[in-house]
Amino acid sequence: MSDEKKPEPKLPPTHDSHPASTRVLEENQNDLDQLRDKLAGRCSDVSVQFKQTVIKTDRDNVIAALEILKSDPELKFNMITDITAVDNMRRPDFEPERRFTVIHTVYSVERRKRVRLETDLSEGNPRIPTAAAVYKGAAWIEREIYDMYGIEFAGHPDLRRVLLPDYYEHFPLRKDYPLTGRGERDNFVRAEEVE
Amino acid sequence: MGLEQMIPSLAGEGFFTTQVNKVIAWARKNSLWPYPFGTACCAIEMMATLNSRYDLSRFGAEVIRFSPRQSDLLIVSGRVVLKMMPVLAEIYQQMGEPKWVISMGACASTGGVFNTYPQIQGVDQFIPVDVYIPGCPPRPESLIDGVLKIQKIIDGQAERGEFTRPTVEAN
Ligand code: SF4
Repeated sequence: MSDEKKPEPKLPPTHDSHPASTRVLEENQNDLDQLRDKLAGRCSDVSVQFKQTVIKTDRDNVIAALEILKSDPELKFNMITDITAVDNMRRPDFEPERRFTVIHTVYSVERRKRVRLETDLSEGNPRIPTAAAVYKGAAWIEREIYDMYGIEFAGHPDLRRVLLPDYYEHFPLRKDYPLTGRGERDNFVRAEEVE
Repeated sequence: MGLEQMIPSLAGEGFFTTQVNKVIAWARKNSLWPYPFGTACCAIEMMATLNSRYDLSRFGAEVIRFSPRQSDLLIVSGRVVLKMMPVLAEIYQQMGEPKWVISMGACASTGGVFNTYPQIQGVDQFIPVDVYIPGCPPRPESLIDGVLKIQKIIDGQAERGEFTRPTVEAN
């Protein structure tokens, strides 16, 4: 047993006082300004939500914005992490003009930065140009979104269902489709009755 | 009445007599060749049953066949969805007679917790099932019990259809 006084336990620095976190915030601010600058005219808003950079854009500008994000020598968002969609139908502030939101998440392997592009689509015309021309990996992800939401990707090289069988008539992740389906799962012939 | 009683000179000579169908049933039940239709987590437990720790070969059912034409016991272990159901039905049809089916686990038997649009709510709606094994997943002992029940059906100690699908009322 030593008589030495134990060192005081070090408390982790609080979020605000941490010098590194201030540095991160400053960097974020610079990033946002840079994105606003590069995407001028292609996006309506650049903000931080839940610590993620979100770029609001629209159907006519989304591909041009993706092209800038990918090919700009300072941005270098060279990887498509994911594309997904949201059906806003059950939201309290729902309007048919914003029925679906398509979300592209792109990542820069070199800069270790990630941004999200949000594009609202209307109920009557859920169409958006394909990102497959910019990022090749987008083609399969877009097939999955088409499969689940029925959102059409104009110019897609091969827009077919990918998970559900080709004969399926509905888009199951739309909020107006019941969880248990419309009887598709009960519609088979008993094996011993088939010749 | 055995032959040895009718012909006294045969007694004590190492003979016994029986019926041909009993011999065939005895051979069949002790050399089941299962087809593993493992589509989800239950299949892991089926693999455990086949491994040396539980060793299904003690009951003569270790020759897993991946061709339905060579197998006589279909073990449906796991979830079956819309796209898989026609495949399962075709595999069932490709198996030669006589054939038996085990529906292993909650998902194969009733749909389990997956009351959703693509999930078949019990494969027995579309293929005949002889033995249902409850559990999520069933323990290897349960699967062994299921195979023993199939053996009972084969040698006539139990009727086909005797082991029925578990219902909510029965619980
Ligand atoms: S019953 Fe349970 S363990 Fe078996 S397939 Fe279903 S979820 Fe998996």
